Amino acid sequence: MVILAVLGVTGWLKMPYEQKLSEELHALKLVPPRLSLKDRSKLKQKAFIATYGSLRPTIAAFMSVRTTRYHSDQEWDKIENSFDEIVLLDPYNYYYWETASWHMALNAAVDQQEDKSLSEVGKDQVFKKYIKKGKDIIDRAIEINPGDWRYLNLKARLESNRYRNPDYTAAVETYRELLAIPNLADHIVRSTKLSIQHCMQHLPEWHQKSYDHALELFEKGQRYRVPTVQNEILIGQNHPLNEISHRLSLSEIYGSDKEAYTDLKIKWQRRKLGQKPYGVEYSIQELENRLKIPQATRVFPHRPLFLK
Amino acid sequence: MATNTQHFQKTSFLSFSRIGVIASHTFTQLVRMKVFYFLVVFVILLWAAKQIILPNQTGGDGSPEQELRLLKSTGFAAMNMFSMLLALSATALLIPKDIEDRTIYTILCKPVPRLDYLLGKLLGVLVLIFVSLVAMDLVLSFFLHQKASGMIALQTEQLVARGTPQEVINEQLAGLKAHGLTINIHFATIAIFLKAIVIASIALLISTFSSSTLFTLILTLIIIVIGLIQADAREYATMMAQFGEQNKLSNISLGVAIFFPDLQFLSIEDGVIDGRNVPMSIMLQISMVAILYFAIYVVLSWFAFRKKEF
Repeated sequence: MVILAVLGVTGWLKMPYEQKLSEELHALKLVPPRLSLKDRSKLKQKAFIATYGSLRPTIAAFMSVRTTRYHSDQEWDKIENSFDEIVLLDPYNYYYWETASWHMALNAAVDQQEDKSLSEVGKDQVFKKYIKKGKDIIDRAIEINPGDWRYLNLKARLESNRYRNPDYTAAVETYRELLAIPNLADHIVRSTKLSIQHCMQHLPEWHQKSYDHALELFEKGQRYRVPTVQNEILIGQNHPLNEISHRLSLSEIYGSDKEAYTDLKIKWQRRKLGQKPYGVEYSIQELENRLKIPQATRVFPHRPLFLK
Repeated sequence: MATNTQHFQKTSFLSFSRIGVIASHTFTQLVRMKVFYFLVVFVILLWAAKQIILPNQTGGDGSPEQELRLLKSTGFAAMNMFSMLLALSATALLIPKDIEDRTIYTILCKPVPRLDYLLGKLLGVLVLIFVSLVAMDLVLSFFLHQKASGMIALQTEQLVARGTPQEVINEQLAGLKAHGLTINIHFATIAIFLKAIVIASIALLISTFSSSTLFTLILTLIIIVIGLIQADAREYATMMAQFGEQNKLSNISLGVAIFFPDLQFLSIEDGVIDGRNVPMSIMLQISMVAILYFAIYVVLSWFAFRKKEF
């Protein structure tokens, strides 16, 4: 009785302190996250092991290795179920979330699309279903790992993947969410801003926004003066509906005529991707004349006026 | 006779030298049970974990970190398992074995207070666990350092060859370094030791009133399992209390939160496996709570043991 009484009194006294300490440890992500009853039932007997520290990542790692077999057998449901458990066991591990979404949105989606037993409509539906599954996985990851730029980057990359039913508007929003995270490394900010530029170029109705954004990046200095930004400034300047504050010359945009010609040639080759290339054709012709490019190597050689 | 009585009366309640003698005897006794053979198994296990090369499925840069995580995870899991088993079985066997060997009679008939006896026995077990954990920590540190430094050198070479900017190289290597050998590895080992201290104290308390070793083992194991999910029960009880609601489940949860120890907060090795830093303030706090548990259970053990007749 005395033992129970002492345990009761000390237990009562320590409870608020333990609760505070526990919350602190969870905030620092030093202890495994709490499992809901639903998650516990999903993990079955693994839930017991999961309660014992340090075994969780080991089990998750071995389960992850096992999924490679399911991958080669194209058993997508098994992969989905396995990763459902893996991410419960090791939820702060980026690698598992990335792999799970990659399996669903990239591998399973394409594999199902090639299923000959399905009609064209059916194939499209299954394709979209698996892409959504991939996005849902990343959304769960973001919920569990708020403030981690890698998950937002992963989501935006999937949203802007041109082979995966892209939604460039959503991707821009996600990238902006990423930029709102404090203390990001300089190179992450740079690559995210350039990715936003890339997405904007795929939204024809955003012609003005895209041009303004490109100009803003261009003015940040040499590190931002990459072909994506330079080409957008040229195209934006030539867009019939854009308001232009000050027009830049080709050498101002690209640094030199030679560099402008190299970049614009590539842009012309890839003209079917992204926005309409306003002004690119004219600029290439102008540069070919100015740089005296031999007719044989020109993108736009002079056509003979008279045929002999 | 009078001198003897005087001497007996002068016997202090707590003598560190007496405790030391009992502890060293217990330590020697346990070492003779060849428990350190486990270290060979540990080295083989870590060597095997070090050889594992995980498939890089997505083509991302996550695989090297995964391999370091796996190595740490295997190491800590084995350390956890060993320290828990030893704390549980060695402590549960302490008193029954002394009764069986009749050594308890020769000790307790001398002017040895029962608290000294209990503390000496418990410390003997804890010293053994500590020595084993230090050895395992050194082995883990060695393998981890070897693997991480090899990976860092390889990654640097590859990134430089690819013309990756120094800023990006530094960031990628920082991720790898965080998963390599840092002070946090040793902090996690300390947390495992603290967990073993609490488990051993619980086993000692139960063994003082239990009639069989098996009962002590089973009951301690049940308490460990409850202790690992005690935080969930406490949180539920606290949440229900905040909402001003009460039901059967919340009452049970409250009971669990009050009477059972929380062992989850000593599982910080999970964070270390994730490559996180353990602040010193956290280490101090968890050490304090573990020592508090140790003190409570030892005092209660003494209370149950002080008038026990053999």
